[in-house]
Amino acid sequence: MAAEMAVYEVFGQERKGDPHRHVGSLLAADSDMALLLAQELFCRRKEYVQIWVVPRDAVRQAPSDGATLGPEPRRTYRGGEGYRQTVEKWKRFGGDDRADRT
Amino acid sequence: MSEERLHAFEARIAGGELIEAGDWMPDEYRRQCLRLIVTHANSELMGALPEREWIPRAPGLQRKLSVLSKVQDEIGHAQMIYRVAEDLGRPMGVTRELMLDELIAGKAKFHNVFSYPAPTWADVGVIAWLVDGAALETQGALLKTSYAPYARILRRICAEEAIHLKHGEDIVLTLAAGTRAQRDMLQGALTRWWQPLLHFFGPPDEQSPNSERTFRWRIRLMTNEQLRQAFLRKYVPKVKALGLLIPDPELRQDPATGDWLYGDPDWNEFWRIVKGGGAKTEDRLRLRRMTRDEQSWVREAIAGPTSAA
Repeated sequence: MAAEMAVYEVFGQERKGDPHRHVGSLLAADSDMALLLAQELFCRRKEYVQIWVVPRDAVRQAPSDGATLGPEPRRTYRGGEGYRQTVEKWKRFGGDDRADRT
Repeated sequence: MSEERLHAFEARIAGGELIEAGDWMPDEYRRQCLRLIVTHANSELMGALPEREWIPRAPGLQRKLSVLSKVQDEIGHAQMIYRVAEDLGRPMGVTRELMLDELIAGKAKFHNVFSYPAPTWADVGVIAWLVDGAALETQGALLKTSYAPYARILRRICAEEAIHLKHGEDIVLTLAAGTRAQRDMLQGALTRWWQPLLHFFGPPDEQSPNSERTFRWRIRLMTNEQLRQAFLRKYVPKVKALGLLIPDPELRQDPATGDWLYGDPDWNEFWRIVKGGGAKTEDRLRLRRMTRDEQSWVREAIAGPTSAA
């Protein structure tokens, strides 16, 4: 009877500077084997410049009902949409495209 | 309570939401997805075998490398899809061991086309072009399935299948532009594969065991006949352009709908094959059993120290 192998999640980076994105999962006995198998399975066509393997047990997931996480949408001061009035306010001073004119 | 959960689940599906492995889902949804996904995984694993037979015999180093790489891809696809199936099947006690045990015991389904022999090099071309072309229709339609982990892995698989198709197309085009003997070999392969290709998509919708829920839950989005017609529209004109004869005197296009009308492809033969009666079914399952036995020591060694039980 073979010992149970663990699930590893695989993350790949397509180009330097890009974020790593989840690409799939695999079964392996340890992280060395997971890395080797990840390259065999997911890197046959030069898809990634770097990959990570992470034991699934190490990944925690926030409880969610499928809706977006984070504060309720009224807190517009946390995003750019809360400051759209600057365009209007700049008009008193000749518009906000000054940098382009120099 | 359970009725409420079912309604909430169906509302999610109706709203275009995707289902993840950890989400609540009706047992029947899990069963139907699992049946579809395990059949796909088995087909990738068994589908590598007819072409594997041609690795030592491929004409030339480039062709040998292409076939070798395609076989490696198909086995890789099987690995990825079994992984998706394991996560989905866990609450029902479905493990990879169990899926492979059922496959080699002849208890599990895989696609009909992998039960036929590939006697000539032209068969390799026709398989890679038209069987992979047919598989790409089916899998392409599943990219929008409601079960998200399957859809994600299909994106990668479809990209690789599209390359296989090009490899097959290149073999077919080479033979079609070749000597009389090469053209005859190609015609022979097409004649052998045409009926299995029609069978590939499954029986006509009115005889299909797929329930209405399969479509309501968006596990599948297109019916067998819709997929078959999509395939015929794409490939009949190409096959004809190569000057090949399609072995169906009744094949003709309905000018009003664009659908291809075809002669009865003998559905009894289809049922005989999917129930394990194909010419090569037992041979290929025996090979699977043998490799599984012979390589058990590798699996045991990499899994580390084990109990004797």
